[in-house]
Amino acid sequence: MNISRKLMLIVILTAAEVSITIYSAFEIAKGAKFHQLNFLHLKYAQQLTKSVNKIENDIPIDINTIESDILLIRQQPIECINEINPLNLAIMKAINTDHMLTICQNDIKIADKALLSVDQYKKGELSRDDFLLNLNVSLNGFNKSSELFEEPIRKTVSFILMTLIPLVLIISFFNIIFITYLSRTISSSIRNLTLLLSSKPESNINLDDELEIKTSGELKALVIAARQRIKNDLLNIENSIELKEIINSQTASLQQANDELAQFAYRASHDLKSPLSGAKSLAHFVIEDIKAGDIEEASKNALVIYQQMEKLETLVVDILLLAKAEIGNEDKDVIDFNQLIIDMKERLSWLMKDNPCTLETTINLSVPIRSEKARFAQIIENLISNGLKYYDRDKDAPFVHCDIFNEQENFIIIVTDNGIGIPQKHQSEVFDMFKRFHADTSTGSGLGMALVKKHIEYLNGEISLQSSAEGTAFKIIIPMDKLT
Amino acid sequence: MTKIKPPILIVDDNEVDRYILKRLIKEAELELTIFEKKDGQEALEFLENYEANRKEYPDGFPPILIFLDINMPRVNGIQFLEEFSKLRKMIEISSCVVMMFSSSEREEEKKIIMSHDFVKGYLVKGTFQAADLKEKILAVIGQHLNENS
Repeated sequence: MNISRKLMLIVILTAAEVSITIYSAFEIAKGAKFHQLNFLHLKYAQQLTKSVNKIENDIPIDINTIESDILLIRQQPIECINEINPLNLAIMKAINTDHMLTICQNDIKIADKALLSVDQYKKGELSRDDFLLNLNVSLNGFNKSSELFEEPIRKTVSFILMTLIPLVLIISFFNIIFITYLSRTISSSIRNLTLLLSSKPESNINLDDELEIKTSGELKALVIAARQRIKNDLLNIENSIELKEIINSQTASLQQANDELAQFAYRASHDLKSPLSGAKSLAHFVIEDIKAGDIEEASKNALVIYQQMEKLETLVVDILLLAKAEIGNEDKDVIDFNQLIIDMKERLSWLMKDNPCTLETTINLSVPIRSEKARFAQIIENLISNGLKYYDRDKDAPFVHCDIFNEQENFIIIVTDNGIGIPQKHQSEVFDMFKRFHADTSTGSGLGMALVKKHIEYLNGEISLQSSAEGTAFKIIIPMDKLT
Repeated sequence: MTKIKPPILIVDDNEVDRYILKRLIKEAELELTIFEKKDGQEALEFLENYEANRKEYPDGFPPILIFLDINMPRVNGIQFLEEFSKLRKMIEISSCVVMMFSSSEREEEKKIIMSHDFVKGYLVKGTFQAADLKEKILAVIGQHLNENS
């Protein structure tokens, strides 16, 4: 049974209790009224008796006084009958006190007869003696009625007292017990629910099931509505947090891209300007030296100008490659890594010419790799040329190894060397643009590793490095799904 | 008595730029002992090795002027200035001043650089001739040159 039904039952029971109580009070009051009517009846009969006595003693009396006395006497049985409702009647019939009605009716008849006598006497149709006789008969009748009337009234009132008061008491008692019971069930179901909800989450893996079993009716509806509301609110909070995170991360990445771009522009312009202004000054010296006849110094500086221009060219090419690395190129082809290595060695011949490093490459691919060849050429060339440039003069057998293979879902390139290594504190900056860590080797644009990083990011891959004084190892992992 | 050539230090990773500066100093007919270091790290090591270098170059250490590039590997010009300002408190090189020698003229960088009171000038590579250089150098270390001349 749900709470509202329980509460309704309490209301009904209370209403019944109150109405029975009020009804009993009315009924008892009615009993008192009957007694009062009977008293009045006796009083008026007394009044009539006095009048009759006066007539008997020849004391002059207005006949109308007698008539009005009779009319007053007649009034009580009429009121009495009017007071009795069908329920009273039913009760009286049940306890055999309904003859009180007959008493009343008889009394009215007696009064009617007396009035008729008065009327006849007035018209002279009745002698004085007959009239007195009739009146005395009537008086006897009235007194008799009053006498008889007391008993059924007393009986009825006492019956009502005897039955209704215990009934009220019983109902009240029952009501108290029932209300106590109902309020206890209501508060206990609320308490149970509170316990269930305030229990620790881990001890309640199946809160839904528990709620299903332990709650019902309005409480269940309340819990369901509350849960739904909280869920929605949480969802909203989550959504707004997620949105904020997205905005924050996008703002951060935009900021980073912006900073990178500013840094790039600054460094690129610096690195472009540096060889240019150097060459300009040198050209000025060359002119002076030629004028002064120092051809040796002039040609030496001319060579330096040439080298500066080469450097500038490399830089411009690298900047263009870097810019291109961010843009997808649709020219995908199966890459012949053997040929790629051969081509690369040719391009690096200037570096390998006087280099003591042994370069070993192994290629072990079980599936063809389809991608943009230029990206892989640049990745491998940059890593290998770094290895060759930064070899360790103090080691006996300097080497650079490049292993290209596939493993499960990944394409892997590992380039290892036993070179001078990258100092620990600079390892995090390896992929930044224009970073060079070795003062002695100023060849290169400082963009090589940034370019490698860009290509790998484009291919959804990852690059990691391990470096110490023993050497450096770069490992590149690219998911195959980008390469088939 | 042999003339003492005041020592200066050029810190620049670019060999060409170092050559250009040296040649301009020569053209300006300034009699200086020139040390060269390829980046801030090397320069700091050179200065930190104070006692040994004093013995090795009795008249040529410490330098009285440092030409300092900004963009260099390992320790760049700005980082060098930070370390150098700490170093000045520890060893006797407070008479040594710095003249920037860079191709960059970034305002925010310049602000940080010029906040060091021992930075006495800012030369932009490729924008000056021997005569300009002489003027600038004399303005900064003229007294040392005069003393010795």
